Amino acid sequence: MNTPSTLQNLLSFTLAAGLLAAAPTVRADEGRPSVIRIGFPGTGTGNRPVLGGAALSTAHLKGWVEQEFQKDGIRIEWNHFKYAGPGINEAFANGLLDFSVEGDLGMIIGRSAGLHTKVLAGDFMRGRYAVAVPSESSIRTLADLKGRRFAVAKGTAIQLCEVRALAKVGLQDKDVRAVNILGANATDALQTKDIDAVIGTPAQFFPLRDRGVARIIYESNTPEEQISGGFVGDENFIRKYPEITRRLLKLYVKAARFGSDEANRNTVFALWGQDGTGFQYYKESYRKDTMIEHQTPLLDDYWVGRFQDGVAEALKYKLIRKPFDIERWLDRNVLDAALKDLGLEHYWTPYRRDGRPLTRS
Amino acid sequence: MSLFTRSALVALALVCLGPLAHAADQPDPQELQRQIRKLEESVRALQQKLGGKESAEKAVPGEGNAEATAPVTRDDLNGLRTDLENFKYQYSREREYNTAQSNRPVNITGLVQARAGYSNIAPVAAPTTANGTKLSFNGGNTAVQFSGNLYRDYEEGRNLSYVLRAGANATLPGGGAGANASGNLYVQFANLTYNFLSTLNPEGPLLSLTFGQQLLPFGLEVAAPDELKPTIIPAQFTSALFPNQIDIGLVLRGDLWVQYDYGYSYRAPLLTYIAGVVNGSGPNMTDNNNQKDYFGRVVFTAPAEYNSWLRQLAIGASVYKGTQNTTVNSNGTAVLSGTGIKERLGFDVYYNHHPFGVTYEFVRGRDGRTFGTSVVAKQLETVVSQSHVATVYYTFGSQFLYAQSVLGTASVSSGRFDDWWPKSYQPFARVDLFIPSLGTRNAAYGFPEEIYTGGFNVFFAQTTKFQVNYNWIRNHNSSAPLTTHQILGQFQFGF
Repeated sequence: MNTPSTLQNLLSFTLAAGLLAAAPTVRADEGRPSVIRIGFPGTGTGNRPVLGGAALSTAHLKGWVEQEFQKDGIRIEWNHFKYAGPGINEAFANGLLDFSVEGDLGMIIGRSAGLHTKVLAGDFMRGRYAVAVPSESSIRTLADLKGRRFAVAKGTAIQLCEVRALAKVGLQDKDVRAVNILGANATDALQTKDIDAVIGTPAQFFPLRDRGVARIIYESNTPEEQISGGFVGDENFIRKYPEITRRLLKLYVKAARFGSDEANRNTVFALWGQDGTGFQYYKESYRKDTMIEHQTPLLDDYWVGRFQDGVAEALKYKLIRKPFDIERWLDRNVLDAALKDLGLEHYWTPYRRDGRPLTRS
Repeated sequence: MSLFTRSALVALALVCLGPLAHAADQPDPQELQRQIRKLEESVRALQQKLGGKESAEKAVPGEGNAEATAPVTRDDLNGLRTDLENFKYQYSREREYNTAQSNRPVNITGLVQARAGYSNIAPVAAPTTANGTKLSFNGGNTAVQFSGNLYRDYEEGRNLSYVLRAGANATLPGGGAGANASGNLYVQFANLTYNFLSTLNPEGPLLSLTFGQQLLPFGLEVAAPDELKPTIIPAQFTSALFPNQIDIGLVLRGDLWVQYDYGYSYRAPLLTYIAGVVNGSGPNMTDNNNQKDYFGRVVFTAPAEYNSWLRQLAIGASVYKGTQNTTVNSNGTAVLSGTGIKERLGFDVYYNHHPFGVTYEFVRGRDGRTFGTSVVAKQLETVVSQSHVATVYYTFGSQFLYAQSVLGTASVSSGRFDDWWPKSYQPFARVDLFIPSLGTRNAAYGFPEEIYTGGFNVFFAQTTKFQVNYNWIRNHNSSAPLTTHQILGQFQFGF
C-alpha cells in the first residue's frame, strides 16, 4: 500500500502551494513596512473601533498617523482588542502587532512571559478606577465588600486596582468572592443585582448611576493606586524600522501635547467621546484632574515606581512567575529624541515615585 | 498667579492647619504632609486652569466661541423633547413592524457550502441517473441553527441553553447520497444543555449535561461539525463506522485541573472527560432495539502556558460500546436477523501550535454482522475494521487568534466597523487509510482504500473558507484495483 513516489508528489505539491500562498503576505521591506499595526486595549460601545483616553486615541481620531505615513505608501491598521491586555499580548506573541497602548498589568504579564516588546512612552497615566454597587445595596464602603461577590476583569489593569482597593481597608482578594467578568457582562450583572459590586473605570458606571441602577461607593484618588499604562512597540519592528518608529513616536508626543493643554480639554473630550462614552462622562471623569498629569508620556520615577509595584503585586498574587528588570524594558532614546525634535523637553514635569512633582534645580 | 490668589491660598492653608495644630499636643506629620500635598495639587490645577483661560480669552472671538457660551432657551428644550418623543415613536414602530421578534434570546447562525468537482473516473450510478458524469457542481452541506439561553444566570453563568439546527447533507462526490438523503432538510441538532458549574470564571472546571439529539463526541473527525471539517470529503471511517454521527441521548461533559494564563486568556484543562448514552439508531429515529449505546472520551491537554511549545498539545482516547441490528439479504431484501455488537475504540493526537498543526486519529471497529440469505441459516461474524487518519498543516494569517479554538482559548475579537475579514492561508496534507475488514476481503466485507489529499484552505472568517482538495484514491479491490484522481473545490460561508 505504500507509494513513495506518490507521497513525494503530494508533499511537493503541498510545499509549492504553501510557498505560492506565502508570497502576498511577505511584508514590503525596502527600508519601510507596507503596514503599521497599532493596537488599543478595548473597544467602544457596541464594539466600535474607537477608544478614548490615551494620547494615541487623539492621534488616531485626528488622522495624524495616516497623514504622516501616506506619502510613504504605508497603510495604518488599527486593532481594538475587546479583551484588552490578553488580546494584545496574543497579537504581539504571534507577530501580528507592531505597537500598542496597554494598561500596566497586561504589559507586565506579557513582558514577564517573554514578549519582545519595548516601552517607548507612558500613557493612561493616573487613570482612576471606581467601585459600584446596585443602587439599593447595603454596601457603603470598601470594607463592606468582605465576603461579597466582586466582579473583576482578571488579567487586565483593573485586577491590580482590585488588589490596591482592598488593601486600603485591610482586605485581600481571598476575603471577597472575586468573579472574573469582563466589560458589559459585569455591568449587566450589576443591573440584575446578580453581583454585589464591580470594579472598573468611573465612566463605565456613570450611565448606570444616572439611570438609578447603580451607586459608586468609591473612586480612587491617590497617585499610588491609580492605573498606569504605556505605549509599547515590538522589538523586531523597532530594530528593523528605527526611522518609522521615531516618526510615529513624534506624532504620539505631539498628540500628548495636544491633550495636555487645558485649552483643548473640551475638544479632546468631544473627540474621545466618539467611543460611546460621550463628552459629558469624559468631562466628569476628569473633573478633579489636570490633563497634563494624565497625558504625560514621560517614563519618570513615578512611572517606573508604579510598574515596579505592579510587578511585585503580580508576583505576590501569582499572576507572573518571575520578576524582570523594568529599566531594561524601556527605550528612552526614542522618546527623548521626539521631545527634542518638538522642543518639549521641559513641557512635562517629571514626577517622583510618590507622584509629587520633581522640583527642577 | 496674582498676589491676592496666593495670599488667599496661604490663608486657607493656615485655616485648615490651625485646628490641627490645636487638636493635639503632637500633630500627625503624615496627615500634615498629605494636606500640604493636596494644597500643592490644587495650586497646580489652578495655575493650569488660569493659563487655559487666558489662552481662550486671547483666542480670536468667532462664531464657535459665541455658540459654545450661548444660553439654551426653553424653546430649544421643548424642541429637543419633541425630537426625542418622535424618535421613541419611530423606534417603537420600526421594531414592531420591521424586526423579527422572539420570546427568548435567539442567535441565528448557519452554513452554506457550494462545491464543484472533477473525477477522472465517472462514478458508478444507477441506470436511471446521470450517465458517466466526471465534472459536476454539487450542493454541499447546508444548515441553519437557532441557539440561545433559555435561562441566563448572571451571577455564575449556570445557563440553560438550547440548540435547534436543521440542515441537508451534501451529495457525496462519486455518487451516492449522505445519510438522511442529500438535499432533504432534516433536524440535525435539537437539544438542551445545562451547566452545573460556573461558566464565568475561566480558571474553574466546567460540567454540563446535554439532552437530546446531538453530535457524537467521538474522537476528532466525528465530533467536528460540518463547518469545522478539515477536508471536503470526511475521513472514510466516519461514514463506515459512524454513518449517522448524530444520535439522541444524554451526554455529560466536563473538565478538571484547569490552567489559565491571564496574559493571553489561554485556558487549558489538564483533563477533559465525556460520557454518554444514546439510542444508537441515528437522528430522527426511535430506538430500533432494546439496547442502548454507551461511550466515553478522555482528553489530556498538556499543562502549558501560552508561550510554551507544548501549548495546545492534546491526547485523547474514545470508546463506544453498543448494539446494532443485523440483517441478511433474502432475495434482494434486507431481513432483520437479530443484533450484533457495535464497538469502536479510538486514539487521537492533536497539536495545533500556531502556525503548525498535526492531527492523528486511529479508530478500530468491531461489528457483529450476519451473512447468508436466510435468518435461519445466518452466519454471525465479528468484522474488525481499522482506520488511520493523519493531517499536517501550516497556517499563516491572523484568523484563528481571534476565534474560539476547540481547546478553549478565549475569544479576543477586535472591534471593527462593517465587515472585517482577517485572512488565514493553510496548505495541508492528509493520509486516510481505511481497512473495512482485517480478515476477509471481498465485495461483501469490503476492500481497503487509501486516500492521499493535498489541499489549500483560505479562511476569510472563522467558518467562511475556500478549499481546494486533490485526492488520490486507491481502492485495493483484489479483482479490479482502482485508482481515482479527484479535484474538488468548495466555498463555505458561515453566518
